[in-house]
Amino acid sequence: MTAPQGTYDAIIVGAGPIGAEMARVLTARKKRVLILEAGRASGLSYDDWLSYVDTYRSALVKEPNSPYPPNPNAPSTYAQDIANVHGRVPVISGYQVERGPLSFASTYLRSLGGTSLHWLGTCPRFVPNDFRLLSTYGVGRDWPIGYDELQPWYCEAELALGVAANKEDQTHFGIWFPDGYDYPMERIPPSWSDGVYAKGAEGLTVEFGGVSYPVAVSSLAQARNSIPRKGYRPIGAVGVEHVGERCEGNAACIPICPVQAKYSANKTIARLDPRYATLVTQAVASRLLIGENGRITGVEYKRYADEGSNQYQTLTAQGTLVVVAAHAVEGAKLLLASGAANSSDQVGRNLMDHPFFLTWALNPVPVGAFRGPGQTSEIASFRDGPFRSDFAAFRVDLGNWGWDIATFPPNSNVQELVAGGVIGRSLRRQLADEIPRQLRVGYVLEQLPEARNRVTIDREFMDPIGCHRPVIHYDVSDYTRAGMVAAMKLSDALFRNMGIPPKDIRTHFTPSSPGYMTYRTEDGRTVPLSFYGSGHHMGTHRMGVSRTDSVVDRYQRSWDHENLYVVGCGSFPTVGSANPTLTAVALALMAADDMLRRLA
Amino acid sequence: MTAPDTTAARRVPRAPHAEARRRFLELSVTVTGYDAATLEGTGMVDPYLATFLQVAGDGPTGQLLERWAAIAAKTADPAERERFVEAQLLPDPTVGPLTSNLAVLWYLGQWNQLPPDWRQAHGARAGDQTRIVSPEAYVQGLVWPAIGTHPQGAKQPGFGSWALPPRRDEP
Repeated sequence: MTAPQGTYDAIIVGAGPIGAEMARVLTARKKRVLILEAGRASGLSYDDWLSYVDTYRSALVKEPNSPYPPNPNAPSTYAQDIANVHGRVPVISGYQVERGPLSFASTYLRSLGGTSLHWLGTCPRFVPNDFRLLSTYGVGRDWPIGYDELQPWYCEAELALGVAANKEDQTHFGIWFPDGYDYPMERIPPSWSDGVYAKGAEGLTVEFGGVSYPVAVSSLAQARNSIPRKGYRPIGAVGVEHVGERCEGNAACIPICPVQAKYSANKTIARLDPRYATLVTQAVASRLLIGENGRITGVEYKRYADEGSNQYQTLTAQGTLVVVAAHAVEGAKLLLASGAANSSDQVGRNLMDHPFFLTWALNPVPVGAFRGPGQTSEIASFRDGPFRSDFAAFRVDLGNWGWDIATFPPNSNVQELVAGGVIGRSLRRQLADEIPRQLRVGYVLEQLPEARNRVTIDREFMDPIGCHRPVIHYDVSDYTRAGMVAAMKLSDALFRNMGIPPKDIRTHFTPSSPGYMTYRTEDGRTVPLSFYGSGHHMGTHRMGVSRTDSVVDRYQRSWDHENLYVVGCGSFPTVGSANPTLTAVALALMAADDMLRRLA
Repeated sequence: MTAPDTTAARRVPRAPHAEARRRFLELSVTVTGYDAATLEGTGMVDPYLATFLQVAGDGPTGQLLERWAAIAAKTADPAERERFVEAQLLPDPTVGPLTSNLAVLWYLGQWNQLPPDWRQAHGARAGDQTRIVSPEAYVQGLVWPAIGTHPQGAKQPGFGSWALPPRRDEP
């Protein structure tokens, strides 16, 4: 692409889904936009993409970043670098420096398209009470906007991402849709295993605090190509649009869809009008330049020619408006390194994830594990309710890939059996007997904003081109741990109702389990727990109604710098239990609309 | 169609290894529980023999195939052959780890680094690292048909296929 020239209407830092969708809106209205992407120009042709597919296939550990080779000049954390903190900090094995007391277990990807290259594509809306947690349940905070105000932007975001769902499946806890609206594509067909769960959950209720909650299995909204509605044309692979117009059941959404049947920001980036959009990759924003009146006068960035060398040029780009869409962690780092937007002292604080709790069991008969998208159905029954005064809400993902990250089948099964001297037809039979019966339930838990959970920077920890590595302080409070104990209660009831004998419920946690921790219940029991990261980094530049305790306003505009927008999941004041990308894109579209008003 | 002559298979000298290949395939049938036609159908017989020759070396691979030939000469019964391999090959310090590696290679496309004692006794070659030996080896892993599905990220079965009842693999 062309080199940056002159002054732009907007500079967008970060070419993930948030930056890409904002660039689409702005350039469609003929605004000149410069996009600075720290990573490489990954996947702009289908041949490129297939090279990442091959990297995935030959990767020993098929973790979320495994298809995308490390880039020393725009490093990412790889899952195998995440180690439990055992008292000794900092843990510096990965790109992110862990200060504890627990490891922040999530990763993201710094490459063109951002983490949308490896995301699962799950797209639930937030429920109305997610926006008013404090006023409804007395915990957390309220958002400066509510569901009704964000609703039209949700519709826009679902069109932008290409979400497949039936609206009648999605009306949880007051979620509403305007008359005549429907998702662009029909829901993804539920898996066979979803049917096994649905039958098992029939008539099931679970009691918390004297309230009885019915358990129901429902279809999951996903940004994944399905049967289109009303003339919508599913968007296929970048470079070969006839590929990937439907999900083909590759069962590898995370870390890579070989046919690009799910949304990635690259699909949007590839369609940007080159008359108005300028994309520069391998350009790491290192500092926002602040003028005397508080305006951002430029974005300083480090352009490296070669991933194998730490040589770079320092350049400056100028724009009327500046958008930091660099990811909740990278964006906070950039603000901290610039001394920008932080009069509230909230930048980097309130870091949240959705701690991901797992339970697993063997069904009496095969459920067809390892077929279809990672998840096609959910239990939304615990996304809201009076229990939220006491413990975290959770959304329940019904996995389609066996015990996946709990025990790493089928590799672990093959290795264990062969090491035990099992070969030949017995090996084949024992694998066929067990793995197709594997059930894995995942609980996506809410976490409250806490000032001590934060991203900081420290001159001691720099990357090869002199940018800060993120230093993370992280813990999981009792509110969320108690939610996990509640999830365990649901899990026991569900597995029992499905007719699974206790010996086949295999959930167990030891001090070597990822994210091992304990919880002391009211009756004095100590319950072992474990969690994984969901890859949902949120909260580090939260929005609010006051400049004293928030970083941005409802349009994600900085309270401190009138021409600076800080956008993405970092703007969430609280996180509910819905995967965040859809909501972040809806907020970004609302912000872009505000930018157009200001540029007019 | 003429393809570039770059595959590992083409690098295996033909004539002197025809017998080795036959034995290697026969042993693979016993170690995997899949028939010869299925194994040939993966296209991985030659690349995997090449992997053994390159990574374990001609000597130890030759020993493995000779020990197997002795078993094959005794019986043609698949169950008996399995029992002989379990009793005679697996416990052996030289050919045992190779036999296990052969099973893992076929099921996962993965080479496991040989045990320290083995490497001490026979030498450690550059290729003796725990790794997926090639993208195609992963795709052709037998574990996927064994569990009634396709490899994740390959051989995709099509839109909505996951809604169908599971099929059981029958040895």
